Amino acid sequence: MLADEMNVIHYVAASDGQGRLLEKAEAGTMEGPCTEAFVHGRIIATSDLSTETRWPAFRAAVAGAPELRAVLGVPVKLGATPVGTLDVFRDRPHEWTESEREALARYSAVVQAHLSSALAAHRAGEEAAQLQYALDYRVIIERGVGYLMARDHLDAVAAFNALRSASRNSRTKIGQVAEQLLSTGELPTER
Amino acid sequence: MAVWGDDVSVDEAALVRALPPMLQLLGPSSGPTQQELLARMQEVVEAAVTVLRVDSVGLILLDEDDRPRVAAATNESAWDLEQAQAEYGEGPGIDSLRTGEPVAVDDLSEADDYPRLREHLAGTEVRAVLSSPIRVNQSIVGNFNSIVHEAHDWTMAQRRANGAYADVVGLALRVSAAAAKADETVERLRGQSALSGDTQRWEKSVERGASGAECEPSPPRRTGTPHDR
Repeated sequence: MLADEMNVIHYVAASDGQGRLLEKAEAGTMEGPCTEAFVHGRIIATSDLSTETRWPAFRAAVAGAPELRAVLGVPVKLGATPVGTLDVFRDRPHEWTESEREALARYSAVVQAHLSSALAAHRAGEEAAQLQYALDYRVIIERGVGYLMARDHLDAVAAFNALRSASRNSRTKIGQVAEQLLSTGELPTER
Repeated sequence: MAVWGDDVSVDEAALVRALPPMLQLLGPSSGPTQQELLARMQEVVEAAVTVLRVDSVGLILLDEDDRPRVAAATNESAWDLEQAQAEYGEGPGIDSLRTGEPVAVDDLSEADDYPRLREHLAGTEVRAVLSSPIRVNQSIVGNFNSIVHEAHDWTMAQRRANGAYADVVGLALRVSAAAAKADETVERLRGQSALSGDTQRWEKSVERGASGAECEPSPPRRTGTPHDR
């Protein structure tokens, strides 16, 4: 499960149908071992959901799934902040041992390492796309600025501001605004 | 939208919703440094001992000439095993690299298939070894070895877990390579945009609220603009 911008955790991935049901019930009732692991940032275990009293709404939500018995949830963190949880279950009552808890916590650290690298790659990719766009459109933007300077007797900064403002107001990328200006003689907002 | 693969399902929409807050937590810095990537890889390898409940693990990766190189080990005896395999060109890890299949050795001290390795490791704590190939985009790039310090009959569950963990290591390698490559591209493009720059300078001066006098661009080009029509 991973948290959205409102810090509400949602089911993201599961290894099977029961796991999916578990996560969806947690997200739906906003309670349960995984939710608690996320909120408190620590490992939460239950050895038998059928006798569990801490989360009545969650227990009711999974009542139709007798295969969900023992659950272990650990927080997934970025830095020190929980961003989601990693959860496992067994289909029979089970007292989670110290070594099982430790193993899941270590595996959560592996997930965190993957997440950090994947997020860094994602952001670098986005930045590369933005830079590439700026490079591709640089000449066109400069020509658009020059055109506005000559047409409206503006200095360079004012002309660039006019382009940028037209870009924002028309919700069009600045390069495309400049392209349109050069081909029609008008900014999109002047039509 | 849910994406299914075997029994695994992924909710893409929830994943997309989770991206912005996680990116925010990542802070303003750009791509990960080499040290950060290495530290994350070390974390993945070290965690394997606890997750798989073995005594140590080792990692061999192929270099650009397809030669096996020791990449990581959680203790000295694991490092020794990996180095000996790489040096002698024999052992379960080497067979696993060659065949692309997992190779289990219950007791190295009785492994007739690997006489030099057996001799080299005689008297050390390395006894049972389970090797699984590591793949990145279907290509074998190395192998992942779990070690137990006594003779041990590897169970099917352990074989499956070891293979799954080798896949996790492969994913870590792929993600790290993607992060490093994307960062390299950003650096290259930054260099290119720094070379030009009127637009960039205007942006900066607008942000500072400065006048345009200090960054006067070249006169407007007339060719191809509506002025000429």
